[in-house]
Amino acid sequence: MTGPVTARLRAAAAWDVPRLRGAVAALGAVAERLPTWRARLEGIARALDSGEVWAGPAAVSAAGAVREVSVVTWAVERSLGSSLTAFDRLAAEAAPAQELAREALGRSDEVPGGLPAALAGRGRLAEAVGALVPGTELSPAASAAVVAAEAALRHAAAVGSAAEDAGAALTGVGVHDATAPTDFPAPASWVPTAEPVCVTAGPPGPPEAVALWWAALPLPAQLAALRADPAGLGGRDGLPAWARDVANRQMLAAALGAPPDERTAATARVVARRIELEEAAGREVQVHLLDLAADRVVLGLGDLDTADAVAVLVPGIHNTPADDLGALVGDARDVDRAARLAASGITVATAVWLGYDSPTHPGQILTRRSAVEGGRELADSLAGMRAGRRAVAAPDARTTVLAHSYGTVVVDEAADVPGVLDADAVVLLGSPGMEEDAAALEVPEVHDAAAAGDLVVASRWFGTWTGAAAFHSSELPVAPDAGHSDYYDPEGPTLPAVGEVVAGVRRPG
Amino acid sequence: MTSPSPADLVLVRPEALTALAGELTGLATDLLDDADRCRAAAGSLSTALDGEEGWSAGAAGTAWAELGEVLARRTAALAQTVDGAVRSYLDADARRAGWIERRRETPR
Repeated sequence: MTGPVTARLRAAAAWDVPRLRGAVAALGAVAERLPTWRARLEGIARALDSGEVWAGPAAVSAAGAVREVSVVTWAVERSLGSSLTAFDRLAAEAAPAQELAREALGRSDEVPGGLPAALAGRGRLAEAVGALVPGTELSPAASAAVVAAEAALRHAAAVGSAAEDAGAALTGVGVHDATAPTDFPAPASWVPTAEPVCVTAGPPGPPEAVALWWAALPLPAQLAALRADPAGLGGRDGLPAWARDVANRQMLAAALGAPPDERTAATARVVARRIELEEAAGREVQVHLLDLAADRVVLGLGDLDTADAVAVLVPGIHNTPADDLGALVGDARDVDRAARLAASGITVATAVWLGYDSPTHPGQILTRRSAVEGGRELADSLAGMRAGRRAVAAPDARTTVLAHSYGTVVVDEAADVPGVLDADAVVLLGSPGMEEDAAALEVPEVHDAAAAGDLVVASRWFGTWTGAAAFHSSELPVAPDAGHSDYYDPEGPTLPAVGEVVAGVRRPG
Repeated sequence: MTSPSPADLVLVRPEALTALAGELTGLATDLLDDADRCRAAAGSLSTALDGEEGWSAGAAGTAWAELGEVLARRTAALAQTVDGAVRSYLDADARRAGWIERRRETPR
């Protein structure tokens, strides 16, 4: 038995399929790492773009050069993805090709005249003759050999085609006739590095889908999208914090430049002033949410995208951005300091979360209505922060929700939203009671601070006393004379304990 | 983040900029490592398949490696440029400081 058919079957039978699979898996791992690599590069591009580390004409050029590498990487990423699909197909086809080739070769002696002749003779005419002249048809074993050989050749051809496709998928980045570009300008010339005129709006949610969409855009497209639709992106959960900050600052600038609107001007001015004060003091600020129409603001201190530990402060009743942002930012700064004291070397970001209608009149204060709506917002916001970090390839932060007073009811409702609350710890400060027990909050750690003299705690208006043994939370120390507004007191014992929780060095006791 | 950085202001924070250059160098190294892995995978593809399929698959795998190397080399070059910029700013500043000192010491 000789000839090209047999040689082809023998070649397929000799393929080293496990090694082939190993090689394709190795390529797959490389392709999987490249988006993370690009995200890190884009972080550097943004740092250069910010002008905080380096500013001037040379800095502008350098930032442009880094952005250019990120765009070409994005194009390479896409090409490798298509190429990998072809490689996966190749690996999938190689196994049956080999198995069937071995089967065909093993039974080839059963085929009168040999496999090549049988394969060549397999046609309608031959089958017709076999049917009309009994005894001339192939034996079952020979027939099986021929069928196996045919299938093996089909799979082998698919392997060849997949190998070709794996190379052809790279033409978009300058690979031709199996030759890749040898220097950067070559692939760059194949990739449009200019900013796109328009960018798709992307999904409205859920946060994971938003993050995936965002991460798949090259940096110039991200910047173009932020310029085109700051209102649509500034509050979109799943976008990284840096991007929301860019969008929201545009919104803020537009609000400050627009004709005064009594309803929104006060909040816009307060937010702008707060940013100015914090940045003048050398602290990083991220405007995570700026919904002036609904009077909702979430202000981050530190980098919510990259900090090791993130604390989200959820305040209670009678808190508005215009009146209370300064004081709440002060609390956030104190928490940040306490966390860094508890674990030196960690990076901390805090967020003042005024992302809900903090109750202001009895009809709201005494009911769960604001908490139900706020709970949904909080759950989405926490999921968005986690997803946003994934969009910039940052590891998950240790996230702690610090809820005070009615804010604890908001957390209670957030935990009732389908899906697990995206936090590692919850601290309940001066809670007016919770619906169920600590386990119902869906986080590994629940801590509480409930002062004996706190009348809101004593009211137990919304449910179980968080200090009760049956609630199963971990008790934080409180000053004997502490009242409802003293949990963040820098002189008290609660704040250092809160810092330990945020830093992850205090275990539930 | 403000973008782009203002061209009418010249500002350099040497330590922070050197750290960014270091990050770029680290990225280049990571990508070169991955390019090596692609090259090894390309060799395995050629050997595992043999024949025309092996050649095509190996060539595609090699192109993966070469694309990675191109990006890594560019990133390393950018790291050197940024690092060089820091050094030249510091050198220029030191020269300027020396010049000012000499002017102060020159008898009038």
